[in-house]
Amino acid sequence: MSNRSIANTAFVFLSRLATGICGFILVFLIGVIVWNGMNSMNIQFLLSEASNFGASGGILYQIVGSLLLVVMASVLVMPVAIGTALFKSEYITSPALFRLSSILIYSLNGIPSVTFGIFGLIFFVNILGTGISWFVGSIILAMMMLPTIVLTTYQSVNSIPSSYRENAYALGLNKWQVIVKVLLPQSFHGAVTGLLIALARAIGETAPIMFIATAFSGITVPGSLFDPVVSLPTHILALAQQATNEAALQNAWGSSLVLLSLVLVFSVSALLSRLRLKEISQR
Amino acid sequence: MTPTPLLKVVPVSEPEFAEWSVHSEDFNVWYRDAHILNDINVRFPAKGITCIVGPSGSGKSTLIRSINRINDEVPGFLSRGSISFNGKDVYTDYKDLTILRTEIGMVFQKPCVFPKSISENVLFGVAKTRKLSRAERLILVEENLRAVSLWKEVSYRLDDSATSLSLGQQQRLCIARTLAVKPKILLLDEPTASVDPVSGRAIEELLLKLKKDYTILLVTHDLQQTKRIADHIVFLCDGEVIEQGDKAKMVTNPEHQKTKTYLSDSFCEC
Ligand SMILES: Nc1ncnc2c1ncn2[C@@H]1O[C@H](COP(=O)(O)OP(=O)(O)OP(=O)(O)O)[C@@H](O)[C@H]1O
Ligand SMILES: [Mg+2]
Repeated sequence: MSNRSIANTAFVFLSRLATGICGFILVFLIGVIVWNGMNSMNIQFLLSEASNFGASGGILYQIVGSLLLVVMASVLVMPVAIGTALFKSEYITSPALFRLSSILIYSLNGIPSVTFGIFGLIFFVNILGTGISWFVGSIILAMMMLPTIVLTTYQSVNSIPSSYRENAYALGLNKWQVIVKVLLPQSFHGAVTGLLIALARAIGETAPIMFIATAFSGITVPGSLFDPVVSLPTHILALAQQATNEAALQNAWGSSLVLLSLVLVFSVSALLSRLRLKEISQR
Repeated sequence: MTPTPLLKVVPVSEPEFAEWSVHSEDFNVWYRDAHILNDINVRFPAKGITCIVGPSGSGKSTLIRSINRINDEVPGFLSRGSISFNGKDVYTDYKDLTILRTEIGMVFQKPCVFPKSISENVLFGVAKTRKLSRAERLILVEENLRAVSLWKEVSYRLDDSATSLSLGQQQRLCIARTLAVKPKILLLDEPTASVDPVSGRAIEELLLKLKKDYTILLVTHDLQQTKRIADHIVFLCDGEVIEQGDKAKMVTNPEHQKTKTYLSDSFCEC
């Protein structure tokens, strides 16, 4: 065998190995969570309130709380993200500003999640005096979701051929009408895809909400914007810390399985939405 | 530099200003540093079809895209000189470009329908400012689809997506969409270049029908088409107007050798 074909074989082997390791880790993690979580999985677990510090009872309000956090975050983030993406694509003309906006968006994406949590604690809870509030948690999650959604929306606005803009201008539409009637409808799918990707990440985030939005137990549905909630990731964290309590650990596995399923739902939807997007852009 | 053509001394042989619907005076265009159009002086008569011909890259598209100022959207575009439209300078007298563009309609080379229904496409430019009643919508859709001879083909599926139409049908839909805005002038940039010959002929028939009511400026590469439908020809080469005039004169008795060569062999060494 020549050197070249040895190198080639080695490369093929290594990349297969890498893929194999990735696949193995994924299957292993999901397998362990499903295997252990299945034991506590039943309707009762999903639909009843936690009791005895989570060691018994279910996780109804943790599910509700987590969904509440991300739904509100989505409502907050969508207009801002779409606005930012359209501004970047349609209004920024100076190359320097354009680069700056890209840097800002990528930096926002790179900030560790715990930093967001500390920022929320200092700015909202301490300085603005909101107290522990699920709404503040949603604001912080929205900030974390922003860059992902801006990027996917920007990509889809930017990939609309300029002939659509020209045809609309030639019919006498002004810039705002072009945005609302031409660009938004054709890029909305990109925003939705970005939202789903961001949701899959946000719903599992613990650090940004643990100081500012959640309490551990004794909470059902928050009565106002400025009440705490319970959530799945913080519940899992708290249960896992009671390492000597068999029942609590079992419930941590169960909660993890539920969380994983929610993440999976968002990821698969994002994938489907992305495929649909591709189909549209190839028309 | 605003022209005051009514006061201008016009040579006897030339028609009165009122018959010139669009004319330019020393009009120049640059894209960044590239000088694309050089002192263009053209006159497009009202009503009838003026064909703008010339080799690729000679600036035909640039010229008509400057008339409705769609070029303003192109980064690096710069112009000097004037283009007037019925006595108003399009670069200084129109603060509101949307008004200019409803008066001057434009159809591009590649049909570009919006991913909406056929009737929504027809109404796209009309429905932008006010809500139309159902009756109004129906009338406008039928009237304009009939005007482009598309009504019979699509009347039973007005709510289907416009993207489901054939390219030739899409191009006629684009024309209908432009007519619906009720422009006074139609600019067409090679409207038959990307459709099949039969649809191309249909569009030519359509233009012959429309020329009674509209001033039509047609950019085309197709000399046979020019000879079939033009009333007036403008010959552009390398950013300059070589010659312009009636079809009869331009085809049978051009002043310039270049015009003669181009109009017979579609070849030009400029
Ligand atoms: N957006 C642009 N930026 C820079 N240069 C441009 C731009 N658009 C056109 N040009 C240049 O301007 C010149 C004239 O182009 P134009 O499109 O007006 O030619 P045309 O006569 O319409 O050609 P064709 O018959 O091939 O359509 C060409 O040299 C072209 O490369
Ligand atoms: Mg052209």
